Amino acid sequence: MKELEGIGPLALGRLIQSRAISCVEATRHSLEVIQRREHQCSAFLKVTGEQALTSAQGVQKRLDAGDESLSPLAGVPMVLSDSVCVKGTATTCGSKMLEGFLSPYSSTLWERLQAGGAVLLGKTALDEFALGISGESCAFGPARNPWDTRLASEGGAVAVSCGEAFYAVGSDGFVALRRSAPFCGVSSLRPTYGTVSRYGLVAGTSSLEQAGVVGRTILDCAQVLALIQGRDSRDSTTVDGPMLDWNTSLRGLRIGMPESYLDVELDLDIRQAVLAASKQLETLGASLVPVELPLADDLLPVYYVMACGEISSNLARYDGIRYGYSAKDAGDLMELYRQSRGRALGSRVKEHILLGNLFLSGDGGEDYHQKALQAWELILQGFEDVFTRCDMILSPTAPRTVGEKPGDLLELYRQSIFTAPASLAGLPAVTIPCGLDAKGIPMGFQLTGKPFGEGELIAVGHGYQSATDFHLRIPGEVGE
Amino acid sequence: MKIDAALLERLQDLSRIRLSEQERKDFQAGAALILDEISRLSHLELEEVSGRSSPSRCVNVFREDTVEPSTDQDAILAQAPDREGRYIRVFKTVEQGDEA
Repeated sequence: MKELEGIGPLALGRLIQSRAISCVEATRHSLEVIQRREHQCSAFLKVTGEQALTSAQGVQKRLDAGDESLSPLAGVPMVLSDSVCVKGTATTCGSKMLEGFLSPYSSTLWERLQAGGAVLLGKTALDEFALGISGESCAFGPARNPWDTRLASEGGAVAVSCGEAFYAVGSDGFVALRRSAPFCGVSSLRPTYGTVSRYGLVAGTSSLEQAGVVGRTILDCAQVLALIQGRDSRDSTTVDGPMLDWNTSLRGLRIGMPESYLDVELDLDIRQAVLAASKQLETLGASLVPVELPLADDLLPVYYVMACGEISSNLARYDGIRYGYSAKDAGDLMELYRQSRGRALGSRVKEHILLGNLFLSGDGGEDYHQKALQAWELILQGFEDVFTRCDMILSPTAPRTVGEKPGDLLELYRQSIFTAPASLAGLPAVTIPCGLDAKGIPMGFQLTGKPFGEGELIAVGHGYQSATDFHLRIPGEVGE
Repeated sequence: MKIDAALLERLQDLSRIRLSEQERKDFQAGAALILDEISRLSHLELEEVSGRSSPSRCVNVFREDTVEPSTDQDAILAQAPDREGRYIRVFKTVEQGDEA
């Protein structure tokens, strides 16, 4: 259906409510796009077409019966990353360790979306245990950036970029979701830590990860966040944040430009695109102010030590006994652990577990962990201070548009320089497309806000997208 | 800090992971670069600073003590690689005569 290409979830929701289109027709449209584009882009680990059509019929019945619990996005086809549990369906988190695992329960965020009438098309590819920056390490093969299919990408961003789904929800664990979205020409929103329940998200880096949303526009992301946010008794870190309000004027808003980022080696195209975006934001009424990030040179080491420690602890649950892969030829318990984990976990995950155990054990690395926890406190205090001088921080999303090199741990670490601070400090962030590089790959900028400052970030992102059209470009299909 | 063969063996034990020969070589090379980057933390003077355990300020959270249905036991047990009836089968870890 040509008329559905490029429209957002809220617009589709209105068409469905006005009966201009049925839920089943909208779902069939998405399944047709998936059939057409999936062979190039591999966004999905599993397409659940039959279930989606059945679900669409159910939502249509609820609509026709006047069910008032339905959301404005009822009947809109969407995807979840394969780190989000849905009862009775496969959840692999991109790892062979969980191949064949059927989740016995649903995540809170899916329950909320389902209650509002979301139609799930399937689960999308992600880095193994969300441990990466571009989806490259997915054990079942990465999704492909539709702008250049040689580049790996996070599956949810690919599905939205291609028009296979109208929005995507997934883990913003390491940073792949936020980094992939602008490189696929779409927008993303990571809310403040504790805004969305992590119950039913496969745990990796518990203190750093949060559910995030991908949509064509930042307003699409905001509409979805409004459905999934809020306190959940099953996740004690959740809170009822303030009501989302993005009717803030840009006039007078202070956008911080970190001085430490001037020294980062960047692709020239990215530097110019982000500078042009900053000028556009100035034109819209915001003012740019220089800021210094707390412990700017030490943010990445702190982030990395904590991420490794939490990964090693969280992934200790994969023991080959209760669920997931189990080595059938082990002769004793210790061999069962070692062989199951050695065979089914990918190299990158194993490397992080080993480093995590170095940092958490008494084998010489524990001083780093203690220092990281102390530095974390200073970083969090430092951001409080930064946000007395500005309302949000502007940065690129990544230093380069090219993906990571498989096996290059240091590159993985360095490519996180702009996105890791929000994860570390639990801050909200949005990423917005802002141009194409010389190779025709979309680029983006990131705005990081103060805790529960999502509304201001959305307002600025929306102001920018109202004045530009970078987010409206749709990647062509091979053969077009 | 260097990860020599003995330390790598110890980390594999702690991690309950057996690496292949190639993985051991790759890990030692990659970890050396990462540890070099991380070593800058040792220069920070943080004696006066207490550590943090969460990005948000932790508060006690209470909920009503009400009985709710739990996750379906059959669905959980169905995921176990090896089971017997309503039990998950594991290797024997206690030998006769081990009792205190």
